[in-house]
Amino acid sequence: MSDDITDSCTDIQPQLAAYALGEADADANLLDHLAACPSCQRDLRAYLQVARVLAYDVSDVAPPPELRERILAAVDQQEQQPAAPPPRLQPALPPAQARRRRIAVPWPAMAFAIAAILALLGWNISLRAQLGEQNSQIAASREGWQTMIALLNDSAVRWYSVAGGSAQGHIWTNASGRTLCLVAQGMPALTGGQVYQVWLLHGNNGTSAGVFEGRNGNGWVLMQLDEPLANYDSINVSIEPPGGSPSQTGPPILHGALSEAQTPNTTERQHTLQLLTLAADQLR
Amino acid sequence: MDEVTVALSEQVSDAALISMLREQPAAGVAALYDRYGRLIFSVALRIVQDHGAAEEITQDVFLRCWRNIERYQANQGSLPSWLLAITHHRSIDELRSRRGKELRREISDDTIQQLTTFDPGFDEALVRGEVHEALHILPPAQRDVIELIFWGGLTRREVADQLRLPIGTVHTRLRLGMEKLRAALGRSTGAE
Repeated sequence: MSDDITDSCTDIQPQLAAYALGEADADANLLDHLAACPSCQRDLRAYLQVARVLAYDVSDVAPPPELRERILAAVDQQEQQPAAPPPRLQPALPPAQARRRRIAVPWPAMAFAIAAILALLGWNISLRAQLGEQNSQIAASREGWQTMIALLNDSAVRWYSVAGGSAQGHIWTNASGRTLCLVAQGMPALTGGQVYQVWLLHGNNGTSAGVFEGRNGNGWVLMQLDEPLANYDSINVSIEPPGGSPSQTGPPILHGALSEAQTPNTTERQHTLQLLTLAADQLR
Repeated sequence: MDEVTVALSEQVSDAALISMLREQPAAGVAALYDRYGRLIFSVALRIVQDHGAAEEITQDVFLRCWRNIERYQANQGSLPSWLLAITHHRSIDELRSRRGKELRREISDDTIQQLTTFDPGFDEALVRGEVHEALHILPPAQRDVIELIFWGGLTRREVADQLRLPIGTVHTRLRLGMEKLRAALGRSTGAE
């Protein structure tokens, strides 16, 4: 990656400043530039830092005394009620909106996507301090994560949702269907060296696509398939003994049909990036 | 605010507040509000310019903070910065909604977790003074553009329309102003 400031960086800086300050609209090419430009990454970090302290330049105004009691009454009331389930994905935008070149990318949704890239790159910097064989393993994981993000932003991506109980996630694949990505949250925790295992199903026949571990119920995995994903009807994820199983033994904790691929809209891409950012903690 | 709560809120750290939120929600929210309620309300009021709306936003911020405290990650930013980010986002959306503008996005609980700040933590009192000074030595033309976006919820295009300037001029003033703030606040905020 070049560290040189180019004319395009000068054009990008006002956009970065505006996003850091909370502006709504964004150019869809910004992420591409940011992913490849350390100078602009530094600028964005700095502008976010500045934006965070701007809020302190405010005259103190005392809220009414009764506000405190209303808030505490609301806490009491909500403690009596069960927790709401996690929100599901918003409906896809109509195609015309999804194809607009200038797209309304809500901040901090854009900040999430940028945060995913910066988190990856910030972690990359700390990675240089790693020594020994672990370095190559972590580097392979980092490469995989970069591949997943690049594939998610590919216009030819085929994308599906998976769910089960309180767990939810997404899978996506490239045009050939042989590179498969999965990210999930809310999965049951693993114990005693167990692993999550991915199964691709055709009828009643299941084929293992790979195993992965997670942290706090979040996880991700990049898989290379022997056969295209189009050859399968559905996908399961189960918890299996250490090292995985030749065939699925645990109940599915995630399931998804593979009959209808989608092209994720901006909101769905950003939600998936959010899950990746959560799951990336397992790399640290 | 009773004497016990005053003493409590002055003594406990933010980390202890977070623990209290998890284990004793009512006491935790009370202590959190006593520490940051005035700041949150002031920021909301500055943006929406309406006491009733500012009160609603303040209530929403503290309830969301409590509900999402498990998602808060201390290594990604200080607690007040997280609260301020939620407040700013919520307030700007309220402002734009009143103007009939499209909402950026409903602020879901999943959204809340990702309002990271990248700040290493800083002395709040020190920063308050430095921010005020840094903003007020900016050329007014640059300060106006920054404040119209940050406090006014305007896009760059809307700023250009309001000030009757070419969009390029808005970009230049925004870029120069933010670079000056970055330099002025660098030491206290950790901005490079």
